[in-house]
Amino acid sequence: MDAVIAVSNLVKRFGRFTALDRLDLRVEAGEVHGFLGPNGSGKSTTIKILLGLLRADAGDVSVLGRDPWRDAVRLHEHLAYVPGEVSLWPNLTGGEVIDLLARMRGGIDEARRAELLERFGLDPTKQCRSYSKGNRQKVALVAALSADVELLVLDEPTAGLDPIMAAEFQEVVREEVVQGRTVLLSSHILGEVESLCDRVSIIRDGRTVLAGRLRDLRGASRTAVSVRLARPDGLAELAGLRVLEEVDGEVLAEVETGRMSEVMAALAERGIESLAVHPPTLEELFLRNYDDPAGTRHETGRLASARGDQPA
Amino acid sequence: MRTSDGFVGTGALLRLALRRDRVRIPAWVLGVVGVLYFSAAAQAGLYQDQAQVDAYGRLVTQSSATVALAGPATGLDSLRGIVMYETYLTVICAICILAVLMVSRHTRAEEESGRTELVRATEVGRHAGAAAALIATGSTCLLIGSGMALVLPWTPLTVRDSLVYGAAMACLGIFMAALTLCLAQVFVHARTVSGAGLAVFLVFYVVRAVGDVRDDATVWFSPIGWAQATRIPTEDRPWPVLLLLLGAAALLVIAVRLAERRDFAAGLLPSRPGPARAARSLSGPVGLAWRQQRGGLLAWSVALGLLGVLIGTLGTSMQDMVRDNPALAAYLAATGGASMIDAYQATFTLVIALTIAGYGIWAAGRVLTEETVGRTALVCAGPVGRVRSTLSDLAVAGGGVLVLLLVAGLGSGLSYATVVGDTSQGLQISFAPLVYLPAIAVLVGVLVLAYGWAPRWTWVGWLVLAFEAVIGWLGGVLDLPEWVYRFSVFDHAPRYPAEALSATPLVAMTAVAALLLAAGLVGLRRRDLR
Repeated sequence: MDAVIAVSNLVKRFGRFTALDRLDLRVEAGEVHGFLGPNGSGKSTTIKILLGLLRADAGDVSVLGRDPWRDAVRLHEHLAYVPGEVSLWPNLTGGEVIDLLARMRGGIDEARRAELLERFGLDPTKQCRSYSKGNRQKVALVAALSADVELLVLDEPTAGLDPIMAAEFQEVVREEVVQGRTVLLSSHILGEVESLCDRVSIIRDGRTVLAGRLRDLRGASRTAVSVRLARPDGLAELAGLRVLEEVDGEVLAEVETGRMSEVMAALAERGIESLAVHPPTLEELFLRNYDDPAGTRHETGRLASARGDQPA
Repeated sequence: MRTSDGFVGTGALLRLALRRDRVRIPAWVLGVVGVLYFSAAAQAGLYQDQAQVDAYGRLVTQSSATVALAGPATGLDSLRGIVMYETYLTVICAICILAVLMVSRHTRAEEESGRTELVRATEVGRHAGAAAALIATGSTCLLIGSGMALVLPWTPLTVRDSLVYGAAMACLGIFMAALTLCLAQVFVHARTVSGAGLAVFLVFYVVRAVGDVRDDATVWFSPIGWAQATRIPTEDRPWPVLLLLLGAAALLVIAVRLAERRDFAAGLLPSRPGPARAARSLSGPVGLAWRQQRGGLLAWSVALGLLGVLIGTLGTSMQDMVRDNPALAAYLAATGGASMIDAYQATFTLVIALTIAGYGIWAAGRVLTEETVGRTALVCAGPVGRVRSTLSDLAVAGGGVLVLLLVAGLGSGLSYATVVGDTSQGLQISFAPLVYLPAIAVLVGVLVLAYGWAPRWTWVGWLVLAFEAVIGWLGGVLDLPEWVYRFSVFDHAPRYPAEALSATPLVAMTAVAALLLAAGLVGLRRRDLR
């Protein structure tokens, strides 16, 4: 089956500023795709092009097999969107906005609407002008999630939600995927992306710097180990291992991709007293692609997590 | 917390307020003083001799409607009295609306947006924002008052008249600002605060009108009555101005007390819950646009209906007066053969049409606001095209314009028919404002063209309206070169009922409006949506 979203070499300029510089993005049917990047890297711009709100300057964009610029209205029958900054009509109530957006799409699943209101704990009788950011986001989420669509485009949907609501949101998204829907999830909350997403695309300065299965990306990266050895000699010369720090006999090091068994054998020869292995977290992958070339911040982060200072 | 601590940081916030309003304040001051100067100066050319001045005085004192509208008949045996009578309404409305909107903008709107929270977390007292808003607004009112005192001596008014006039209007503004500050403690939302402030102003105006018509002490229940108790130009009493200042001081004390009683971002009145489900009418972009515009349209309908009734009832007495005064007749743009009453009606129809054009620009201009705050994106992310979404807003705005033209026309036509007993003339008057529908459509078309291709330039719609207003209101007095008038869309519309209806300009204007609209929508289809 064709990709739900297929973007290649996408370019968008605002005057002299290049917001997107040959960006690629591919989202397969039925997956939750994490769309990551630092502030100002072009995530929202990309999403607005996918919706046909902005016009691409160059590159190929296809969403559900359609050109979003030329075919926006018919495309939108099959997708729902939650903007990052939700602005609602101040004199309408949340319930009215949910109904309005649903009716413009052609109808509403009453049971689903009631269920989502209940689960997100949203009072639909309040005027939108008195909602907090989180509640405005819930209005947009209920409207989008109660729609019968193939694709959900969510731009930082949980930025204003509390942890309980964010967990509820994850649960709802999992249900959506079981229903066969595809989700494009832009988020800064990496834990959420890690637990929800099959594949991720990380962009930086309008360009895709890393894309693929989370598992593959992790495997393709260096792994941190902290080890205590009976005879910690000759470690510096050991191929495939890079010692970062040694504190009270505890060695913190990185193992090169694909040389894990070789390194483990060498370590075993030296008498392992304790060993902890930390595959790179999404946060580390993200920071590595964002902070480099200096890379100082993610190294510090990795060491801290390798020591067990933070839950990995 | 001591009350005095509450004012820490007022200076910094005042500078912020002045910085934010660096265009708005000069625009208000220049606009009010400028319009006032021109209309006051223009009066001098309209009355050549004492007989004409006396005729004016006789006319307005006969009609309780004009006394109600323009307020007390003081010294109408002189040109100075006429100037006061002709200008009071404009200045009072302008300065009170300015005070209400500005205070609401700098207090509740800030608090509602969350910006106050950011500011309040720094070393800034609880009352500093309100104090800064009041000082900024009060200073603007004082600037207008000073401007009046400076320029009005060059009109028929004396220096003393001008000083008292300026002081009374500035202090009336300060009083309304203090009152709005109290309202801002009571209501949570800036729109409610502005609405309540304007409603209170309307009540004050009505109380004053009743007092002036009955010529009794009722006027003292209205601060507008206090301002007019200065009795310019006959007595020029300054002491009622002090009354306004004392009242403002009392309101300030109340505002401080109320502010200390309430929580941040809360009011004294809670907001009520609304419907959990949308009504059937709220199902698409048209329903949404209607829901957004209906409140404003209702308020405008009431105001324009009343204005129409006033104009209709004034018609007969005006006829007598115009008969006595050829210069005024010329001002009313009487053309050969047209009756005075037609000329009078034609002029007021133009004024009504220009006012309604203001509504049209305001209502159509919403499309930009909706886009800027991101609500258009929310609608257009559903299966609703941007052209359909925009056309829905414009259609409802256009419908509103049509309703207002009818309401104002019927108000003046029916009241004329009732007062005079002339049904055919009344019918003619009822539908006269509709003649301007194509002209208003052209103005809205200019706005849509700008919105479609360069949304940042949408304000040119207001610029064109300002041009039309100057030509329409003062064009007869200003004596501009002929080619300037050619640029005026409204000038091309037949001055019905003074002129005969001719289809050509109306059809041409409709075509131009349609072209502008289509061109704007083409631009909208091609550009990025914010």
